[in-house]
Amino acid sequence: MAIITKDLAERIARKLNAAISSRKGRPHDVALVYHENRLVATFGIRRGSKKEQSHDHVPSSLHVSPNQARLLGQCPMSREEYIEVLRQKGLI
Amino acid sequence: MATQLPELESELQQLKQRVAAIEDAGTLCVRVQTLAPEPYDLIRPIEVVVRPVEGAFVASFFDANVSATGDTPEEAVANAKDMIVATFEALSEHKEDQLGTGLAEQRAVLRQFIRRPE
Repeated sequence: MAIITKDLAERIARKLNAAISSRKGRPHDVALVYHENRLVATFGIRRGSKKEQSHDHVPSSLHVSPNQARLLGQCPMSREEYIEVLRQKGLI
Repeated sequence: MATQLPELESELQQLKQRVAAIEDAGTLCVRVQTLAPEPYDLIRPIEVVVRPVEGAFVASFFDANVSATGDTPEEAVANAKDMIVATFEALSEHKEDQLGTGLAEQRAVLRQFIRRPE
């Protein structure tokens, strides 16, 4: 069972106010995370209808651990806390 | 029944360790030599690492921090190729001052591997 499912990946995208770039005919849409008008993170969302589809690549794409990604999607971690994680890692 | 529980727990723990060892042994490296049919040239091959993760497979191009998941190793690699192109396109659409430090570095790495045909 995936730690990060497609459903959770979509929740993460919404939590981070990500813009979704849909690419017709390709396997992924791309979530674009902005902070102060700069693109700071991207990750792919697999196209298709299965909500339980594994998206365990999302944590590394977001520069966080699988548990942090899960917390981000399930609400204990806020967008501001995520941005602070990126800032502390020198990625912003 | 109560006396069997500790034995079952011990056996379960051993099985978990064995599964973890099997999953670790399942890591493989794939050399991507083409992005066809995408309209991009590979300047040099891309090394993608494929690992079993929680019943699926994650393929990662670590140098550029691009990863994707698939139900099979083959699907994971195909998805990784798609995400490499998609990430390159997304980053290329932004000016330098529109990218965070991490993504600016990511784009610089991808440019060493990918280019649009002239």
